[in-house]
Amino acid sequence: MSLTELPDEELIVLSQEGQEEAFGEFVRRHMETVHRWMARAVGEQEADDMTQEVFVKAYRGLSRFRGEAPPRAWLAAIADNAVKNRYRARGRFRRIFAGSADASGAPEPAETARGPEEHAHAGQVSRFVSEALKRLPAEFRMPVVLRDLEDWSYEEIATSLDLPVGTVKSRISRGRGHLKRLLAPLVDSGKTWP
Amino acid sequence: MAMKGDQTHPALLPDFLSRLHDGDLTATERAHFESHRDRCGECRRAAAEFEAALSLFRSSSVSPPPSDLAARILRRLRAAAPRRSSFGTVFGINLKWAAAFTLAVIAALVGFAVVLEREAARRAILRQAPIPVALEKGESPASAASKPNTPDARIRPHMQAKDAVESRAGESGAFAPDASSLRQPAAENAPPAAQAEEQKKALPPAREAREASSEASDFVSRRRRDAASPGPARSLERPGGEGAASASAASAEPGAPARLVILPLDGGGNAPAIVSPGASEALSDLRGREYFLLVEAGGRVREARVDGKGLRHARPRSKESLESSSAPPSVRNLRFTPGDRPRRLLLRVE
Repeated sequence: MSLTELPDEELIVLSQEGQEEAFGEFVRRHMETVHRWMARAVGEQEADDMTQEVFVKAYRGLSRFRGEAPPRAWLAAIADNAVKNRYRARGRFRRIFAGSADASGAPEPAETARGPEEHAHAGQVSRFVSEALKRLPAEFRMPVVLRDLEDWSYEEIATSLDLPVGTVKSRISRGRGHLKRLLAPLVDSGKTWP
Repeated sequence: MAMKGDQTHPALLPDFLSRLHDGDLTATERAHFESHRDRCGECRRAAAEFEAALSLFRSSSVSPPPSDLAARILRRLRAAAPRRSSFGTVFGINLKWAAAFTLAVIAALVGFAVVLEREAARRAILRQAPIPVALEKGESPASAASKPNTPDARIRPHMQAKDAVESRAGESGAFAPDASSLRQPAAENAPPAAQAEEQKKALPPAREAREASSEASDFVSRRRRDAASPGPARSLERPGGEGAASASAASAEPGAPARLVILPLDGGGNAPAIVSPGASEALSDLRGREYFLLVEAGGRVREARVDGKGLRHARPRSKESLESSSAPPSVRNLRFTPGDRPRRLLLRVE
Protein backbone atom coordinates (compact mmCIF):
# COMPACT_ATOMS: atom_id res chain seq x y z
CA MET A 1 0.00 0.00 0.00
CA SER A 2 1.46 3.33 -1.04
CA LEU A 3 1.69 6.26 1.31
CA THR A 4 -1.02 8.16 -0.56
CA GLU A 5 -3.51 5.49 0.41
CA LEU A 6 -2.69 5.51 4.10
CA PRO A 7 -4.87 7.45 6.55
CA ASP A 8 -3.41 10.42 8.39
CA GLU A 9 -2.99 8.45 11.59
CA GLU A 10 -0.75 5.85 9.97
CA LEU A 11 1.28 8.53 8.24
CA ILE A 12 1.95 10.12 11.58
CA VAL A 13 2.92 6.78 13.11
CA LEU A 14 5.34 6.12 10.26
CA SER A 15 6.69 9.63 10.64
CA GLN A 16 7.26 9.02 14.32
CA GLU A 17 9.25 5.93 13.33
CA GLY A 18 11.53 8.08 11.24
CA GLN A 19 10.07 7.74 7.76
CA GLU A 20 10.40 11.20 6.35
CA GLU A 21 8.52 10.16 3.23
CA ALA A 22 5.41 9.56 5.32
CA PHE A 23 5.58 13.04 6.80
CA GLY A 24 6.18 14.39 3.30
CA GLU A 25 2.95 12.80 2.20
CA PHE A 26 1.22 14.28 5.25
CA VAL A 27 2.56 17.71 4.27
CA ARG A 28 1.38 17.36 0.69
CA ARG A 29 -2.02 16.20 1.85
CA HIS A 30 -2.69 19.08 4.25
CA MET A 31 -0.52 21.83 2.90
CA GLU A 32 -3.30 23.53 0.94
CA THR A 33 -5.68 23.46 3.89
CA VAL A 34 -3.15 24.89 6.30
CA HIS A 35 -2.21 27.53 3.78
CA ARG A 36 -5.85 28.53 3.48
CA TRP A 37 -6.16 28.76 7.25
CA MET A 38 -3.11 30.92 7.42
CA ALA A 39 -4.26 33.12 4.54
CA ARG A 40 -7.50 33.75 6.45
CA ALA A 41 -5.91 34.12 9.83
CA VAL A 42 -2.85 36.22 9.08
CA GLY A 43 -3.24 37.27 5.46
CA GLU A 44 -1.93 35.93 2.23
CA GLN A 45 1.34 37.76 2.47
CA GLU A 46 2.38 35.77 5.46
CA ALA A 47 0.52 32.60 4.64
CA ASP A 48 3.49 30.86 3.03
CA ASP A 49 5.83 31.46 5.93
CA MET A 50 3.19 30.58 8.48
CA THR A 51 2.34 27.36 6.66
CA GLN A 52 5.97 26.33 6.72
CA GLU A 53 6.17 27.21 10.38
CA VAL A 54 3.15 25.08 11.18
CA PHE A 55 4.60 22.00 9.51
CA VAL A 56 8.04 22.49 11.03
CA LYS A 57 6.45 22.70 14.46
CA ALA A 58 4.38 19.64 13.69
CA TYR A 59 7.48 17.72 12.64
CA ARG A 60 9.33 18.72 15.76
CA GLY A 61 6.32 17.79 17.89
CA LEU A 62 5.75 14.39 16.32
CA SER A 63 6.74 12.62 19.50
CA ARG A 64 4.04 14.47 21.43
CA PHE A 65 1.22 13.38 19.15
CA ARG A 66 -0.73 10.69 21.04
CA GLY A 67 -3.52 10.10 18.56
CA GLU A 68 -6.17 11.40 20.96
CA ALA A 69 -7.41 13.79 18.29
CA PRO A 70 -7.42 13.54 14.50
CA PRO A 71 -4.15 14.70 12.90
CA ARG A 72 -6.08 17.49 11.22
CA ALA A 73 -7.19 18.81 14.62
CA TRP A 74 -3.61 18.50 15.85
CA LEU A 75 -2.50 20.63 12.92
CA ALA A 76 -5.20 23.18 13.71
CA ALA A 77 -3.97 23.46 17.27
CA ILE A 78 -0.46 24.06 16.05
CA ALA A 79 -1.77 26.65 13.60
CA ASP A 80 -3.76 28.36 16.36
CA ASN A 81 -0.67 28.63 18.55
CA ALA A 82 1.38 29.89 15.63
CA VAL A 83 -1.18 32.61 14.92
CA LYS A 84 -1.30 33.67 18.56
CA ASN A 85 2.48 33.78 18.75
CA ARG A 86 2.70 35.78 15.55
CA TYR A 87 0.22 38.38 16.73
CA ARG A 88 1.67 38.45 20.18
CA ALA A 89 4.95 39.43 18.61
CA ARG A 90 3.22 41.89 16.33
CA GLY A 91 1.46 43.45 19.32
CA ARG A 92 4.82 43.93 21.03
CA PHE A 93 6.15 45.46 17.84
CA ARG A 94 3.25 47.90 17.71
CA ARG A 95 3.59 48.81 21.35
CA ILE A 96 7.27 49.55 20.82
CA PHE A 97 6.82 51.54 17.65
CA ALA A 98 4.02 53.90 18.60
CA GLY A 99 1.92 55.21 15.77
CA SER A 100 1.42 51.87 14.10
CA ALA A 101 -2.09 50.82 13.29
CA ASP A 102 -4.10 49.59 16.21
CA ALA A 103 -5.44 46.09 15.96
CA SER A 104 -8.58 46.91 17.87
CA GLY A 105 -9.89 49.52 15.51
CA ALA A 106 -11.57 49.44 12.18
CA PRO A 107 -9.68 48.53 9.01
CA GLU A 108 -6.84 50.73 7.86
CA PRO A 109 -7.90 54.37 7.36
CA ALA A 110 -6.42 54.25 3.90
CA GLU A 111 -8.58 51.28 3.11
CA THR A 112 -11.74 52.83 4.50
CA ALA A 113 -11.02 56.14 2.86
CA ARG A 114 -11.19 54.49 -0.50
CA GLY A 115 -14.87 53.77 0.05
CA PRO A 116 -16.74 50.65 -0.81
CA GLU A 117 -16.86 51.45 -4.47
CA GLU A 118 -13.19 50.68 -4.75
CA HIS A 119 -13.84 47.25 -3.32
CA ALA A 120 -16.55 46.38 -5.74
CA HIS A 121 -14.96 43.41 -7.29
CA ALA A 122 -14.11 40.18 -5.53
CA GLY A 123 -10.44 40.82 -5.23
CA GLN A 124 -11.08 44.00 -3.43
CA VAL A 125 -13.59 42.32 -1.16
CA SER A 126 -11.09 39.66 -0.34
CA ARG A 127 -8.43 42.21 0.50
CA PHE A 128 -10.89 44.11 2.67
CA VAL A 129 -11.89 40.93 4.47
CA SER A 130 -8.26 40.06 4.90
CA GLU A 131 -7.53 43.45 6.38
CA ALA A 132 -10.50 43.11 8.68
CA LEU A 133 -9.35 39.69 9.81
CA LYS A 134 -5.99 41.09 10.75
CA ARG A 135 -7.77 43.17 13.33
CA LEU A 136 -9.55 40.24 14.82
CA PRO A 137 -8.14 39.23 18.20
CA ALA A 138 -5.83 36.27 17.76
CA GLU A 139 -7.72 33.94 20.07
CA PHE A 140 -10.84 34.31 17.89
CA ARG A 141 -9.20 33.70 14.54
CA MET A 142 -8.74 29.98 14.30
CA PRO A 143 -12.08 29.14 15.92
CA VAL A 144 -13.89 31.45 13.48
CA VAL A 145 -11.90 30.19 10.53
CA LEU A 146 -12.48 26.57 11.42
CA ARG A 147 -16.18 27.10 12.06
CA ASP A 148 -17.22 29.52 9.32
CA LEU A 149 -14.71 28.66 6.61
CA GLU A 150 -13.91 25.02 7.22
CA ASP A 151 -17.33 24.07 8.62
CA TRP A 152 -15.90 22.22 11.59
CA SER A 153 -18.28 21.35 14.38
CA TYR A 154 -17.94 22.98 17.76
CA GLU A 155 -16.91 19.65 19.21
CA GLU A 156 -14.12 19.20 16.67
CA ILE A 157 -12.83 22.67 17.33
CA ALA A 158 -13.01 22.13 21.08
CA THR A 159 -11.07 18.88 20.75
CA SER A 160 -8.53 20.42 18.43
CA LEU A 161 -7.87 23.49 20.53
CA ASP A 162 -8.24 21.59 23.78
CA LEU A 163 -10.97 23.94 24.97
CA PRO A 164 -14.41 23.39 26.43
CA VAL A 165 -17.20 23.53 23.87
CA GLY A 166 -18.77 26.46 25.71
CA THR A 167 -15.53 28.41 25.47
CA VAL A 168 -15.32 27.64 21.79
CA LYS A 169 -18.88 28.82 21.22
CA SER A 170 -18.20 31.98 23.18
CA ARG A 171 -15.05 32.75 21.24
CA ILE A 172 -16.77 32.13 17.93
CA SER A 173 -19.74 34.30 18.76
CA ARG A 174 -17.49 37.12 19.94
CA GLY A 175 -15.30 36.70 16.90
CA ARG A 176 -18.32 36.94 14.65
CA GLY A 177 -19.37 40.10 16.45
CA HIS A 178 -15.94 41.60 15.76
CA LEU A 179 -16.21 40.62 12.13
CA LYS A 180 -19.62 42.24 11.86
CA ARG A 181 -18.20 45.51 13.08
CA LEU A 182 -15.07 45.27 11.00
CA LEU A 183 -16.95 44.42 7.84
CA ALA A 184 -19.80 46.85 8.42
CA PRO A 185 -18.44 49.43 5.94
CA LEU A 186 -18.24 46.81 3.25
CA VAL A 187 -21.69 45.48 4.11
CA ASP A 188 -23.20 48.94 4.00
CA SER A 189 -21.60 49.71 0.65
CA GLY A 190 -22.72 46.37 -0.66
CA LYS A 191 -26.26 47.54 -0.56
CA THR A 192 -25.41 49.83 -3.41
CA TRP A 193 -23.24 47.36 -5.31
CA PRO A 194 -24.33 46.71 -8.81
CA MET B 1 -35.24 29.22 27.23
CA ALA B 2 -35.41 32.92 27.96
CA MET B 3 -33.46 35.30 25.78
CA LYS B 4 -30.24 36.52 27.27
CA GLY B 5 -29.29 40.16 27.62
CA ASP B 6 -31.41 42.79 26.05
CA GLN B 7 -34.94 41.44 26.01
CA THR B 8 -36.06 44.37 23.87
CA HIS B 9 -33.37 44.13 21.13
CA PRO B 10 -31.84 40.64 21.22
CA ALA B 11 -30.14 41.10 17.85
CA LEU B 12 -27.76 43.53 19.44
CA LEU B 13 -26.07 40.61 21.23
CA PRO B 14 -23.41 38.76 19.23
CA ASP B 15 -24.07 35.56 21.14
CA PHE B 16 -27.73 35.64 20.19
CA LEU B 17 -26.94 36.36 16.56
CA SER B 18 -24.34 33.60 16.53
CA ARG B 19 -26.84 31.12 17.92
CA LEU B 20 -29.38 32.37 15.42
CA HIS B 21 -26.87 31.83 12.63
CA ASP B 22 -26.03 28.32 13.81
CA GLY B 23 -29.69 27.43 14.31
CA ASP B 24 -29.19 26.81 17.98
CA LEU B 25 -32.22 28.86 19.12
CA THR B 26 -35.09 27.01 20.59
CA ALA B 27 -38.39 27.16 18.82
CA THR B 28 -39.75 29.57 21.44
CA GLU B 29 -36.71 31.86 21.15
CA ARG B 30 -36.90 31.83 17.41
CA ALA B 31 -40.65 32.59 17.34
CA HIS B 32 -40.23 35.41 19.84
CA PHE B 33 -37.34 36.92 17.87
CA GLU B 34 -39.14 36.70 14.53
CA SER B 35 -42.14 38.48 15.90
CA HIS B 36 -39.87 41.11 17.39
CA ARG B 37 -37.83 41.52 14.21
CA ASP B 38 -40.97 42.22 12.24
CA ARG B 39 -41.64 45.13 14.52
CA CYS B 40 -38.02 46.30 15.25
CA GLY B 41 -36.03 47.80 12.42
CA GLU B 42 -32.85 47.98 14.53
CA CYS B 43 -32.86 44.27 15.23
CA ARG B 44 -33.79 43.52 11.65
CA ARG B 45 -30.86 45.57 10.40
CA ALA B 46 -28.44 44.10 12.95
CA ALA B 47 -29.36 40.56 12.03
CA ALA B 48 -29.04 41.34 8.34
CA GLU B 49 -25.62 42.96 8.76
CA PHE B 50 -24.47 40.00 10.80
CA GLU B 51 -25.47 37.54 8.11
CA ALA B 52 -24.03 39.76 5.40
CA ALA B 53 -20.70 40.03 7.20
CA LEU B 54 -20.45 36.28 7.59
CA SER B 55 -21.45 35.84 3.99
CA LEU B 56 -18.72 38.21 2.88
CA PHE B 57 -16.30 36.42 5.12
CA ARG B 58 -17.21 33.07 3.60
CA SER B 59 -17.24 34.33 0.05
CA SER B 60 -13.89 35.98 0.15
CA SER B 61 -11.44 33.90 -1.74
CA VAL B 62 -7.80 33.30 -1.06
CA SER B 63 -5.06 32.54 -3.49
CA PRO B 64 -3.98 28.92 -3.74
CA PRO B 65 -0.58 28.07 -2.29
CA PRO B 66 2.45 28.33 -4.55
CA SER B 67 3.20 25.18 -6.45
CA ASP B 68 6.60 24.81 -4.83
CA LEU B 69 5.40 25.40 -1.28
CA ALA B 70 5.42 21.69 -0.44
CA ALA B 71 8.97 21.35 -1.70
CA ARG B 72 10.02 24.41 0.26
CA ILE B 73 8.42 23.01 3.39
CA LEU B 74 10.20 19.68 2.95
CA ARG B 75 13.51 21.42 2.35
CA ARG B 76 13.00 23.48 5.50
CA LEU B 77 12.11 20.34 7.41
CA ARG B 78 15.34 18.68 6.31
CA ALA B 79 17.30 21.79 7.22
CA ALA B 80 15.58 22.13 10.57
CA ALA B 81 15.85 18.47 11.47
CA PRO B 82 18.64 16.70 9.61
CA ARG B 83 18.06 13.13 8.75
CA ARG B 84 18.61 10.90 11.70
CA SER B 85 21.18 8.52 10.40
CA SER B 86 21.47 5.10 11.82
CA PHE B 87 24.26 4.37 14.21
CA GLY B 88 27.51 4.12 12.44
CA THR B 89 27.53 7.21 10.24
CA VAL B 90 28.16 10.72 11.50
CA PHE B 91 29.41 13.45 9.20
CA GLY B 92 29.92 10.78 6.60
CA ILE B 93 32.20 8.77 8.87
CA ASN B 94 31.34 5.17 9.58
CA LEU B 95 31.56 4.94 13.33
CA LYS B 96 32.18 1.20 13.26
CA TRP B 97 35.28 1.58 11.17
CA ALA B 98 36.32 4.63 13.13
CA ALA B 99 36.00 2.68 16.36
CA ALA B 100 37.99 -0.23 14.94
CA PHE B 101 40.69 2.13 13.74
CA THR B 102 40.80 3.84 17.11
CA LEU B 103 41.13 0.51 18.89
CA ALA B 104 43.92 -0.51 16.54
CA VAL B 105 45.79 2.73 17.22
CA ILE B 106 45.34 2.29 20.96
CA ALA B 107 46.55 -1.31 20.75
CA ALA B 108 49.58 -0.22 18.74
CA LEU B 109 50.42 2.49 21.26
CA VAL B 110 50.04 0.12 24.20
CA GLY B 111 52.10 -2.53 22.45
CA PHE B 112 54.81 -0.02 21.62
CA ALA B 113 54.87 1.14 25.23
CA VAL B 114 55.20 -2.46 26.43
CA VAL B 115 58.04 -3.10 24.00
CA LEU B 116 59.79 0.05 25.12
CA GLU B 117 59.37 -0.92 28.75
CA ARG B 118 60.77 -4.39 28.16
CA GLU B 119 63.66 -2.96 26.20
CA ALA B 120 64.40 -0.53 29.02
CA ALA B 121 64.28 -3.38 31.53
CA ARG B 122 66.60 -5.48 29.36
CA ARG B 123 69.06 -2.62 29.12
CA ALA B 124 68.88 -2.09 32.87
CA ILE B 125 69.70 -5.75 33.40
CA LEU B 126 72.57 -5.52 30.98
CA ARG B 127 73.89 -2.50 32.82
CA GLN B 128 73.85 -4.43 36.07
CA ALA B 129 75.51 -7.49 34.57
CA PRO B 130 79.21 -8.06 35.35
CA ILE B 131 81.49 -6.47 32.85
CA PRO B 132 84.79 -8.06 32.03
CA VAL B 133 86.91 -5.04 32.66
CA ALA B 134 90.02 -4.58 34.69
CA LEU B 135 89.83 -2.73 37.97
CA GLU B 136 92.49 -1.21 40.04
CA LYS B 137 93.67 -2.97 43.13
CA GLY B 138 91.01 -3.68 45.70
CA GLU B 139 88.34 -1.86 43.78
CA SER B 140 85.02 -3.60 43.97
CA PRO B 141 82.72 -3.62 40.97
CA ALA B 142 80.17 -1.64 42.96
CA SER B 143 82.58 1.08 43.88
CA ALA B 144 83.95 1.13 40.39
CA ALA B 145 80.49 1.58 38.98
CA SER B 146 79.81 4.37 41.43
CA LYS B 147 82.94 6.20 40.33
CA PRO B 148 83.09 5.61 36.65
CA ASN B 149 85.17 8.69 35.92
CA THR B 150 87.83 8.25 38.56
CA PRO B 151 91.18 7.33 37.17
CA ASP B 152 91.51 4.30 39.48
CA ALA B 153 88.32 2.72 38.39
CA ARG B 154 88.32 3.77 34.81
CA ILE B 155 86.53 1.43 32.51
CA ARG B 156 87.71 1.41 28.97
CA PRO B 157 84.99 -0.35 27.10
CA HIS B 158 85.73 1.29 23.83
CA MET B 159 89.41 0.56 23.68
CA GLN B 160 90.54 -1.25 20.70
CA ALA B 161 91.58 -4.78 21.46
CA LYS B 162 95.29 -4.26 21.30
CA ASP B 163 95.33 -1.16 23.42
CA ALA B 164 92.97 -2.67 25.95
CA VAL B 165 94.97 -5.83 26.38
CA GLU B 166 98.26 -4.03 26.65
CA SER B 167 96.88 -1.49 29.01
CA ARG B 168 95.47 -4.08 31.36
CA ALA B 169 98.53 -6.18 31.24
CA GLY B 170 100.53 -3.21 32.32
CA GLU B 171 98.22 -1.94 34.98
CA SER B 172 96.90 -4.91 36.86
CA GLY B 173 98.14 -8.06 35.36
CA ALA B 174 94.59 -9.14 34.91
CA PHE B 175 92.91 -8.98 31.60
CA ALA B 176 90.07 -10.28 29.56
CA PRO B 177 91.04 -13.28 27.47
CA ASP B 178 89.49 -11.96 24.28
CA ALA B 179 89.45 -8.52 22.86
CA SER B 180 85.88 -8.91 21.66
CA SER B 181 84.75 -9.58 25.20
CA LEU B 182 86.03 -6.19 26.16
CA ARG B 183 84.26 -4.34 23.48
CA GLN B 184 80.80 -5.72 23.29
CA PRO B 185 79.53 -5.57 26.89
CA ALA B 186 81.01 -2.18 27.43
CA ALA B 187 79.39 -0.92 24.32
CA GLU B 188 76.05 -2.00 25.69
CA ASN B 189 76.73 -0.04 28.85
CA ALA B 190 77.44 3.14 27.02
CA PRO B 191 74.70 5.75 26.92
CA PRO B 192 72.37 5.16 23.96
CA ALA B 193 73.31 8.44 22.32
CA ALA B 194 76.99 7.89 22.75
CA GLN B 195 76.76 4.19 22.08
CA ALA B 196 76.72 4.52 18.34
CA GLU B 197 79.63 6.92 18.47
CA GLU B 198 81.53 4.67 20.84
CA GLN B 199 80.89 1.66 18.66
CA LYS B 200 81.93 3.61 15.65
CA LYS B 201 85.20 4.51 17.39
CA ALA B 202 85.66 1.09 18.95
CA LEU B 203 85.04 -0.95 15.88
CA PRO B 204 88.11 -0.86 13.69
CA PRO B 205 88.04 -1.97 10.14
CA ALA B 206 87.85 -5.72 9.74
CA ARG B 207 91.53 -6.09 9.03
CA GLU B 208 92.53 -4.11 12.09
CA ALA B 209 90.12 -6.09 14.19
CA ARG B 210 91.62 -9.36 13.03
CA GLU B 211 95.13 -8.11 13.75
CA ALA B 212 94.10 -6.85 17.15
CA SER B 213 92.44 -10.14 17.99
CA SER B 214 95.51 -12.05 16.89
CA GLU B 215 97.79 -9.91 18.99
CA ALA B 216 95.51 -10.30 21.95
CA SER B 217 95.59 -14.07 21.60
CA ASP B 218 99.38 -14.03 21.49
CA PHE B 219 99.45 -11.89 24.57
CA VAL B 220 97.15 -14.28 26.43
CA SER B 221 99.43 -17.13 25.59
CA ARG B 222 102.43 -15.19 26.85
CA ARG B 223 100.60 -14.34 30.07
CA ARG B 224 99.72 -17.95 30.69
CA ARG B 225 103.35 -18.98 30.20
CA ASP B 226 104.49 -16.29 32.59
CA ALA B 227 102.00 -17.32 35.23
CA ALA B 228 103.00 -20.97 35.00
CA SER B 229 106.68 -20.21 35.51
CA PRO B 230 108.04 -19.51 39.03
CA GLY B 231 108.73 -15.90 39.74
CA PRO B 232 108.13 -13.09 42.16
CA ALA B 233 104.70 -12.74 43.72
CA ARG B 234 103.86 -9.84 41.58
CA SER B 235 100.25 -10.71 41.73
CA LEU B 236 100.26 -10.24 45.48
CA GLU B 237 97.81 -7.58 46.51
CA ARG B 238 96.76 -7.32 42.93
CA PRO B 239 93.22 -8.57 42.63
CA GLY B 240 92.36 -9.28 39.08
CA GLY B 241 89.63 -10.57 36.86
CA GLU B 242 88.21 -13.99 36.79
CA GLY B 243 90.22 -14.93 33.76
CA ALA B 244 93.44 -14.10 35.51
CA ALA B 245 92.46 -16.09 38.59
CA SER B 246 91.57 -19.19 36.66
CA ALA B 247 94.67 -18.97 34.53
CA SER B 248 97.07 -18.60 37.42
CA ALA B 249 95.38 -21.25 39.61
CA ALA B 250 95.39 -23.83 36.88
CA SER B 251 99.03 -23.46 35.97
CA ALA B 252 100.67 -22.94 39.43
CA GLU B 253 103.27 -25.42 40.68
CA PRO B 254 103.36 -26.74 44.28
CA GLY B 255 105.56 -24.60 46.54
CA ALA B 256 105.47 -21.58 44.32
CA PRO B 257 104.23 -18.36 45.90
CA ALA B 258 100.52 -18.03 45.65
CA ARG B 259 98.79 -15.11 44.12
CA LEU B 260 96.50 -13.54 46.68
CA VAL B 261 93.50 -11.72 45.40
CA ILE B 262 91.64 -9.59 47.91
CA LEU B 263 88.21 -8.30 47.12
CA PRO B 264 86.17 -6.05 49.39
CA LEU B 265 82.75 -7.44 50.20
CA ASP B 266 81.42 -4.49 52.15
CA GLY B 267 81.55 -1.91 49.38
CA GLY B 268 83.73 0.19 51.56
CA GLY B 269 86.29 1.06 48.95
CA ASN B 270 89.68 -0.36 48.19
CA ALA B 271 90.66 -3.48 50.01
CA PRO B 272 93.49 -3.16 52.50
CA ALA B 273 96.76 -4.71 51.51
CA ILE B 274 98.37 -7.69 53.20
CA VAL B 275 101.35 -6.66 55.24
CA SER B 276 102.25 -10.10 56.59
CA PRO B 277 105.69 -11.08 55.27
CA GLY B 278 105.82 -14.31 53.30
CA ALA B 279 102.06 -14.55 53.00
CA SER B 280 102.22 -15.70 49.40
CA GLU B 281 104.51 -18.56 50.27
CA ALA B 282 102.58 -19.45 53.43
CA LEU B 283 99.34 -19.75 51.56
CA SER B 284 100.72 -21.50 48.52
CA ASP B 285 99.20 -24.77 49.67
CA LEU B 286 95.74 -23.22 49.64
CA ARG B 287 95.57 -22.47 45.95
CA GLY B 288 92.12 -22.52 44.53
CA ARG B 289 90.46 -21.75 47.84
CA GLU B 290 88.58 -18.69 48.97
CA TYR B 291 88.09 -17.36 52.45
CA PHE B 292 85.77 -14.83 53.87
CA LEU B 293 87.55 -12.57 56.26
CA LEU B 294 86.38 -10.14 58.90
CA VAL B 295 89.31 -7.84 59.44
CA GLU B 296 89.47 -5.48 62.39
CA ALA B 297 90.27 -1.84 61.90
CA GLY B 298 93.74 -2.52 63.20
CA GLY B 299 94.38 -5.01 60.42
CA ARG B 300 94.07 -8.20 62.43
CA VAL B 301 91.81 -10.98 61.17
CA ARG B 302 88.97 -11.32 63.59
CA GLU B 303 87.24 -14.13 61.79
CA ALA B 304 87.98 -16.26 58.76
CA ARG B 305 85.56 -18.74 57.26
CA VAL B 306 85.27 -20.75 54.13
CA ASP B 307 81.71 -19.50 53.79
CA GLY B 308 80.31 -16.07 54.29
CA LYS B 309 77.96 -16.91 57.14
CA GLY B 310 78.32 -14.75 60.16
CA LEU B 311 80.36 -12.12 58.38
CA ARG B 312 77.48 -9.96 57.41
CA HIS B 313 77.62 -8.07 60.64
CA ALA B 314 80.97 -6.92 61.87
CA ARG B 315 80.38 -7.74 65.50
CA PRO B 316 82.74 -9.75 67.63
CA ARG B 317 82.20 -13.48 67.84
CA SER B 318 83.05 -15.82 70.62
CA LYS B 319 86.39 -17.46 70.87
CA GLU B 320 84.83 -20.84 70.23
CA SER B 321 83.27 -19.54 67.15
CA LEU B 322 86.52 -18.13 65.94
CA GLU B 323 88.32 -21.39 66.64
CA SER B 324 85.66 -23.42 64.91
CA SER B 325 86.37 -21.56 61.75
CA SER B 326 87.63 -23.90 59.10
CA ALA B 327 90.19 -21.37 57.88
CA PRO B 328 93.74 -22.50 58.64
CA PRO B 329 95.94 -20.48 60.98
CA SER B 330 97.97 -19.16 58.09
CA VAL B 331 94.86 -17.32 56.99
CA ARG B 332 93.73 -16.26 60.44
CA ASN B 333 97.17 -14.87 61.17
CA LEU B 334 97.27 -12.58 58.17
CA ARG B 335 97.76 -8.91 58.86
CA PHE B 336 96.35 -6.13 56.75
CA THR B 337 97.04 -2.46 56.58
CA PRO B 338 95.11 -0.70 59.34
CA GLY B 339 92.00 1.18 58.47
CA ASP B 340 89.33 3.23 60.13
CA ARG B 341 86.75 0.48 60.39
CA PRO B 342 86.41 -3.32 60.19
CA ARG B 343 86.31 -4.76 56.72
CA ARG B 344 84.74 -7.79 55.15
CA LEU B 345 87.01 -9.23 52.50
CA LEU B 346 87.25 -12.14 50.18
CA LEU B 347 90.65 -13.73 49.98
CA ARG B 348 91.24 -15.81 46.90
CA VAL B 349 94.39 -17.87 46.78
CA GLU B 350 95.58 -18.47 43.24
